Amino acid sequence: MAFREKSAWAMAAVMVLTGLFYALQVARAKAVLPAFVGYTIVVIVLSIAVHVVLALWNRDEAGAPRDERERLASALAGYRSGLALAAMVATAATVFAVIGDGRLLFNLVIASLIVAQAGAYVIEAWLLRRSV
Amino acid sequence: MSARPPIANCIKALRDAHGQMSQADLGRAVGVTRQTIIAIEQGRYSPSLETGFRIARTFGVELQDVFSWQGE
Repeated sequence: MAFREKSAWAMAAVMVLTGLFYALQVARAKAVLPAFVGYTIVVIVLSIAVHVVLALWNRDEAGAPRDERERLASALAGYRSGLALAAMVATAATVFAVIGDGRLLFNLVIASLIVAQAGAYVIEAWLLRRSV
Repeated sequence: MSARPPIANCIKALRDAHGQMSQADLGRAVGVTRQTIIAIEQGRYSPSLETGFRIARTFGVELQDVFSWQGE
């Protein structure tokens, strides 16, 4: 498995796990900000840790720029996850228009970002595995 | 995912003819990863024109000696 594919799978796992962590934080916390700040810190720390481990494990490939197939996979994954994000945010806005709960809107938008990002990594890894 | 491109190639034969050149070595010479060379060899990925020329130049042959059209 190539470095980019490993990185994509690992980051997808990070996004799913931290997404669950965020959901737990939101369920427990009374205020939105502490949960969001905690989530952001955990995502940053885990992302750095995962990439340090992957870079040490794949020293040759880690520093190399993406080649044409990897750039294409990344672009396609970003395009598809962007469409999904737009649909989820539009749904969140519709929910807000009906219910009028700003806190729910905030959490739905953050959840949409997390799901879209996790999806982007999964699509990228899948495209790299199956070829673009 | 797009359909398999209708382009055949003889990269593996050319590698074998050039001292059993590895996929990783060819990838380094061309500027792509070993996985991309594997995908090209297996016909799962159609390389850019630039990469196609780079592959041909690495083996000292013309582009049409490496790739051929297999569609209708």
